Amino acid sequence: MKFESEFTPIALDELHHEAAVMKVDGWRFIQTHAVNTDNGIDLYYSFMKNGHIKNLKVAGVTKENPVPSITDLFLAAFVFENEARELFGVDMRDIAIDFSGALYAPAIDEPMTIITPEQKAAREKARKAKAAKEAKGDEASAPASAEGAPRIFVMTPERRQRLDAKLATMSPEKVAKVEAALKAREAEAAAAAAGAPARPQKPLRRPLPTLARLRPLLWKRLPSKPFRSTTTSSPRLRSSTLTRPRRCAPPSPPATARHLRQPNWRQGRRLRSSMPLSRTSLH
Amino acid sequence: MGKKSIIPFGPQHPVLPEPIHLDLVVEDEVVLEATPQIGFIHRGLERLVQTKDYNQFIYVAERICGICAFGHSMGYAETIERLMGVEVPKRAEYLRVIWHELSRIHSHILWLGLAADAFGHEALFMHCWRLRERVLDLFEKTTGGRVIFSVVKVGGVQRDIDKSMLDEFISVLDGIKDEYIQICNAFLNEPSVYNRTAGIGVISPEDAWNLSMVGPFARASAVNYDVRMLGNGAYGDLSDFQPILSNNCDCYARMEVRAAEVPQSIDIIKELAARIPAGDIAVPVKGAPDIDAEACNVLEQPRGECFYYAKGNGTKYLDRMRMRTPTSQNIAGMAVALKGCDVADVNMIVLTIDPCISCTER
Repeated sequence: MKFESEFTPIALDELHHEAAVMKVDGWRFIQTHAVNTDNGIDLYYSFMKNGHIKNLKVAGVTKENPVPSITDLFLAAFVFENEARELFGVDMRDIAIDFSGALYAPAIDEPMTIITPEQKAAREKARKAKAAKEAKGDEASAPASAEGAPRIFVMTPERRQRLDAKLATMSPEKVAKVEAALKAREAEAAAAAAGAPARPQKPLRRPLPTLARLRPLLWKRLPSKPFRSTTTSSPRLRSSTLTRPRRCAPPSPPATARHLRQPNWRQGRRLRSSMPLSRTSLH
Repeated sequence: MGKKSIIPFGPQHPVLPEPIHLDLVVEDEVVLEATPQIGFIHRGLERLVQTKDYNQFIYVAERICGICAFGHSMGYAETIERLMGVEVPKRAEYLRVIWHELSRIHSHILWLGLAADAFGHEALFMHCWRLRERVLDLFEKTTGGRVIFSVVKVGGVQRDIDKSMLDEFISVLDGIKDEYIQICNAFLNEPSVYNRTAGIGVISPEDAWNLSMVGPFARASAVNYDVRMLGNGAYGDLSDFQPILSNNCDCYARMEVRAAEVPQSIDIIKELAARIPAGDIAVPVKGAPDIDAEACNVLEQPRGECFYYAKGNGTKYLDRMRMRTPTSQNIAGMAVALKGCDVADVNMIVLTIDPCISCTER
């Protein structure tokens, strides 16, 4: 990866001035886009010079902050500024070619600002997990745990209290399962402390074959079509390099006893006259 | 002083591969102004990062456009690898670039066919697309797909190309090159084609720079910029790479630049196929991007520079994925190029920016 990129935060009122400075310094305008965050919309203006990408980031723009357009400096930005206004609700002013909401005309206003509840819950969970991890890193780590040694689960009184509170709400079967698992883990920890070998790794599941991998196998069974250019007469147009096998004859049906063969609709009457009489027809 | 009228061009038009609408303000067969309008194929694909995790989204990314499919999947994968700090094996980088250059060849030959159709040479259009079929056969042999391959994943590629197949690539490409040069003769040395394209849709080098144009559209106006010069990925291992530029700044120059990029791509593939290192084709990628991690990436697609930006939020779903495609950058240039041209030349000019509106609107 031979180019460098950087993200430089700037304030909204510095935006137009910074863009003008970039133009005078010979930077090439790449694009503008918006990112939806909890604190408003973040606008990114990307420029490039000599293989270096500089992204100017204007953070936390809300509907109350009008954003000056840079189309007077870089006309190509009009598509992106109209898009930011329509999809994110950014209040862009003085765009050179202004579509007034008719660029994409989405059915819902500001669709990119809508985040589904599942997404919000997942993001909240990730944030809490990160905060908890950082908090754990600040606490004193477990004694005598060196780099690379297996982490030993220690049941502290607070953890036991929290677990008991949860178990009180669960059914007796689940409670029994949880207790059994805890006992197994304690036994494993004791064995590891005593120097016994670790639990054997579960064998990795083989990945299921995808259709892309199966398709060459299928090709071998299907008759393939003759390559197009072998049918043209001109030697100049005929491809000499890429050929495929010609259409093969279908495999012949397996030989069966004549009296067991189903009458073919083509053979029709001829077969019927030479078919052996069945036992029931003798009566 | 004639009467001004407004002629609607598109979204359905025989020369347009994808829907774009232009309102042409016309006075006596001369276009005074052109206002572009897009939005016919906006699918909201950037919103899908909320429902597809970062591994699944690569399948969405490559379906943004049929012609630039591989470019989007490669650019997206590179962006996520930058975001998560994943180092892709060398062999995977080489394979990606080989497929990407093949993608460039097929895209340019497709465009040459469309350009021939635009100035009325249907037989040449058919010849170009017949030639393109051989490239699609190569794709199908190595990836299973003709247009959308699903062969790139975050961490590498999913399939390998062995030595015998690489030798077949080279022999097929040599076969294509001879016939391709004969077809280019019909484009570049034909007086009737020259009359239709020379001096049409001129954008000066200063305007090209100020309008931030990208790709062959800009290089035909002497803008010396090609992302492959930056040496990203396996492009850094090429012995020499010079972007193809032209000083003529008109439709004929854009045709010349695209026509010349195909033999350049064939040479790149040959060089990389000869030097491809052995090794793994992918590394396993586990976990999720960090909260507030950001990364950006650029890639030279057939139409120009494509910019990608990704932001993580700690979950396996990305916070934001942005793909700025070359055509969205070139629309301003197209609107300027259309000023002052004849109505009959609008077809040619719109096609010479190589519009990929599906990419623009996502």
